[in-house]
Parts: sequence; structure tokens; C-alpha cells
Amino acid sequence: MNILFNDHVIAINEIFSLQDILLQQGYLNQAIAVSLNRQFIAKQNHATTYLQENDQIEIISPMQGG
Amino acid sequence: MWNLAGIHLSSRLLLGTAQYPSLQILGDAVTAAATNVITVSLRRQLAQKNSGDMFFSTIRKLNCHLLPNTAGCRRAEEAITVAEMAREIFSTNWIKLEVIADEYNLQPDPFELVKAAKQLNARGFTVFPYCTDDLILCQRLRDSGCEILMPWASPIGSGKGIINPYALEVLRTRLPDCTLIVDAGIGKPSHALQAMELGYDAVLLNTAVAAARDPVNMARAFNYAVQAGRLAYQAGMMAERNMAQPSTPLIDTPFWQQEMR
Repeated sequence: MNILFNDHVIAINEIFSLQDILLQQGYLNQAIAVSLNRQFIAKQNHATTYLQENDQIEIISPMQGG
Repeated sequence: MWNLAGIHLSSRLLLGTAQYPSLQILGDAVTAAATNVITVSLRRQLAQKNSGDMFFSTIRKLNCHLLPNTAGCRRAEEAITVAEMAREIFSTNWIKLEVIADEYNLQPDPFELVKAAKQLNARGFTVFPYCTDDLILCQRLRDSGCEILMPWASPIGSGKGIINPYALEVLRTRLPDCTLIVDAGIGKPSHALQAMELGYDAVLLNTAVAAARDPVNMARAFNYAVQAGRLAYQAGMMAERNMAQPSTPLIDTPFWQQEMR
């Protein structure tokens, strides 16, 4: 099935968790937050949150701010 | 030393981290400002993976408390989501709550602000709402659980300084137990000094330092201005009067007996 990861279409297995995709894309143990379909998913729920067709994942990272 | 949300701080200057010519200059400016609190933000990570890592590792070395903001949010729900993300990334309950309503002057939306503040306070955040200088809005934010308020001096990045000193004075008078921080619109050290003379607890600024020709020395200048303003407030300023009064006693000075025309 396909999902949208940071605006890029990615094909993944049927049973794939948020943690799996973060591991696959090289984001594990980084200072990031994750939104799934515009909802924040806390880190402790990454392993138990399973992805579905057309899910949209965005990686949020620190930046300069005033 | 003073207390901000339970943390003892030596500086009353809070500094933003945006718009500096380089990360090196940002770090040097933070050091020159002698600040203890710096603001940070979040963004969607698209093309450049790990682009936030260099910034984050730089600011972590500065040993400052981090105050993440919710810049760019227009609805309470968006601000709450960003606050939750910031708490996870930066490991802090502090959140500078920004909910903007107008594109031209980036004026905060008072209704969405109170709505978001109420929910964030209930979720255990220490909310630093960026607000206008409207007394009733500030009272509503207090009612929602905010112990810190950050009224603007003037619109973000305008550098106009305090455009309504009366309103800021009223806030200080009517909310004597609230931690009040002037945020946004400060353009030069004299503006920060004026805010501190009014009895404000601290000043938060960014562009005035970052956009200076020499950001590091401007940061130093703001450090001195904030200290001077606080000292002046504590020392108690003389009352203004219309009639001149000689500072030098005139009795027994040469020609003291001459009549004034």
C-alpha cells in the first residue's frame, strides 16, 4: 500500500507501524515529532500505531524562532 | 535573581533565535546578551533530512532554558497540537502561545488565544501567551490559568517600540502579581529600558538584535538596557512636574539677591 511521507509517496508492507517507517527512513532517536493525518502521535504510541492506505505522515523538527 | 515559572534566572532579557546571519553569530549574541531563556520553533521537515539537528545541537550547548513557540498557528487546535509536539521535542512544559489573526500586523486572535490557553493550562503546560495590551484579554488569560502574560509593545518585527505606554502601565497596575513580559515590537535598547522602567518583569525580543549591523554588540547593549531599566524601577523615579526647580540651591550663590525678571 502507499502512504505519503513528508510529501513523498512511499510503498510499504500491509502491517507497518509508525515506528517501522521512522526506522526505515532513518528518523529513529532524532529530535523530531510526528504527525499522522495532521494529528500528533506521541513517541510512546509509535510502535502501536499501524499505518493505513493513503496515510499522511509529517516529520516536525526544531528550527529558529522568535 | 528572579523567578520565572519556578526557575531562578539572573537575566530579565529573553532572546529569540531567528534571522541571525549564522549559527555562530546566534551563539555569540546569546552569550553577549547573558540571557537565560531563548525561544525556538518547529517546522515541517521536507527535503533536507536532519536539517534541524545542527540548530538543535547548537542551542543545546548554550545552556539556556528553551521557550518553544506556536508561530504560524491561526486556530486554537493547531496551537495545541504544535505545543504537544514542542513538549516532546524540547522536553519542556513551557510554551509561547501564538495564535495570529491578522496578516498585516500579525495581531493575536484574542478569542482563539483564550481557548488555547485554557486547554494548554489544563494539560499541564506553563503558558506564555503572546497577546495585545488589552486589559480585559489579559484578565481572561489570567482566568484561564496563565500566570505569565506577554503583551506586545507593537507588532512583531516592526521595531516601533511601545506604542501605547498607557495600556502597559494599566496592565502593570491592574495585574500586580502577574509576571509581565513585553514581547514584540522592541526596536532598540531604549525601548527595552522603557518597558523595564514601567515595572515589567522582563523583555523578549529577537529582530532588534538579529537584524542589527552587529548583532553581538546589540545583544550586549540590550543586556545593559534591561538591567538599567530594572534598577531604575527599583530605585523609584522622581515625579514629573511642569515647573522648573533649580537643582543647585541659590541661596548665597553670587548675585542671589537679584530679582528674577
